[in-house]
Amino acid sequence: MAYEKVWANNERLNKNEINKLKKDGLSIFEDIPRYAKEGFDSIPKDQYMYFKYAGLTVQQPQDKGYFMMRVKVPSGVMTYEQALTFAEVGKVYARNVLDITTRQAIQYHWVELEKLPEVFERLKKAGLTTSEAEGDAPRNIVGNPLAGIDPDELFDTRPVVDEVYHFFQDNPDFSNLPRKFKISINANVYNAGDAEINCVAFTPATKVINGETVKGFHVKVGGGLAARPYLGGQLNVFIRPEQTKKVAAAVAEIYRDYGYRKSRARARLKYLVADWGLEKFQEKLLELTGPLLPAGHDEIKGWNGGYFYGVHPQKQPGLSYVGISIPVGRIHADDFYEIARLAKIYGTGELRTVNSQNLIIPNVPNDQTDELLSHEIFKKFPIRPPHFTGYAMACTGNEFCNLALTNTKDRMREIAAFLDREVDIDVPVRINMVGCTNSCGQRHIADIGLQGLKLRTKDKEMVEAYEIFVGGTLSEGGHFNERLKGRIAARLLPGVLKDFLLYFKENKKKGETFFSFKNRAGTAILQEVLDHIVKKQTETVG
Amino acid sequence: MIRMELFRFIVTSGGDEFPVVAAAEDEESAFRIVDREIERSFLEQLEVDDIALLEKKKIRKTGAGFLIQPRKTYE
Repeated sequence: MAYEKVWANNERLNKNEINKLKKDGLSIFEDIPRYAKEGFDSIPKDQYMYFKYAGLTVQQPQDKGYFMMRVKVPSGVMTYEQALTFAEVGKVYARNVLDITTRQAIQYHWVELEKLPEVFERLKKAGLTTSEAEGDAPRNIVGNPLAGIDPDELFDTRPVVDEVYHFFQDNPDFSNLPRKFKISINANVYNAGDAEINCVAFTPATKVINGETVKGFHVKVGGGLAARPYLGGQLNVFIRPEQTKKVAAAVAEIYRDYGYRKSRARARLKYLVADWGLEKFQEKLLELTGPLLPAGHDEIKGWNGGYFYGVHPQKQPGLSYVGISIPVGRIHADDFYEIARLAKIYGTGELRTVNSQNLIIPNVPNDQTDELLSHEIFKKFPIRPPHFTGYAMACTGNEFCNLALTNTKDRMREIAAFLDREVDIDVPVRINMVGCTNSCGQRHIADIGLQGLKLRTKDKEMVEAYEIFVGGTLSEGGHFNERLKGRIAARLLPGVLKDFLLYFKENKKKGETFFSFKNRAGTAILQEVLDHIVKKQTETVG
Repeated sequence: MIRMELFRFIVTSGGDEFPVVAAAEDEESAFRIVDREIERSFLEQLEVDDIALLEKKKIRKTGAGFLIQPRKTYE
């Protein structure tokens, strides 16, 4: 279906929009084979933006000819053949490293331009694509990593995700959106799809219709993190699973035709939703979809942060899934291959990626889980990770990202390992580290968020430092964490966090989460505690 | 070709915090610009506790900027 670009004659379009009117992002796939033959220098700089549509970003420093490459994994579900392909691509083309992203995708660094046609061919053979994993288009669909096997799901969302994914994928009607478009489709009652931080989210709901309880979705719109975070708001509609594609398409159409294209900083759907309000947005939606039923009963019971560690029974009797910890989402291709190999021997070969940057092996017969877990790989990637290493998250950091002011992945891993040695608490504490004011590492929704900055101290010493934010969650509609005053030098950070968490341990009730504790104690008290700890640490460590 | 970036700082002095924005080629130069601006902006020398670089962005042909406003609790 062709559509009219109603914004084409707007006088004030940003530069990317003007370019996108001349050339559609997806056409970059026609150019890449030529660039691959002629070399990196043959790419005009004004073409860099189009590479995003192929899931590629020119890696920093920009003159070396390497790319960051992202591959979609809708709802995190991958077959054995796909898992093998992911490992092979990592091994052959990406210096043996894979990153699992917070949208359940797989991401590589160090991919050479000259090798891209080969890489695309390998991915295509396995039914995988990098297309629209970045760019102003529908991104990887986030969903329940346990879809189809989950005792806590209202229904199996795999057919819905599949339908919506195939509808949007490489669809020229939606390849020129104002910015990225993030969809979440989840029926796990513990909000496994992180509904509130997506542009449009389908969340589990029921409604009594003609005396019968029907399972379906509620719809949230306009969520997103970044420098100006916004929690998605719920529309007053109930939709049946078979209506999902129609509603997702209508939201995307509204975004495409009414979303802001003047400034890229204000182009995400959340800005339109904030300006219109939910009522107006819903009116426009209903114009496109036709009548929808009013909201029914929300089936969300809480938020598990996307953590599924350990061995748990599936809804299929006799089978279990095994949740594995992949610290900060980074894994060597050899290890990924080993996990896939074991998944084939003990399960069906299928793997699931989780938005907490971890992995799940599904479909393991109950009587074989012990044997599976006796393999060496689970010492490196445990199913019951220590409370800090297992619940730490980090963005890419200044290793590859030009916006980041500090290292994140290595530092977060080191700090988490230190805290695991020094602090033993009865509940996990989710610590997310980011290297700038954006929130690629989802800092805003962490129990403790750490945001990197560069600091010049009173003694004129230049150090990496971090600000601390406390009390983020996506429970009960969500709450962003709050900044505590003070900046902690990187060398002091492990000790400060240790003492801060020991205070939590000593003053919490049994089983009390950090979020509940923060609400009970209050931010002012935590500020006093932090001030005291920093003073003490500065005197001791210097 | 010189590639300039825009840097956003917060300078802390006693109980006060104030923002400074600098355009420079790199972080080191940006910190120097902050020093310079502090020196020329106060009649009495300011007692600086620390200077924090919070954010940077490339200055493209279309320019770059920061909105300076009191930080919200989540920022």
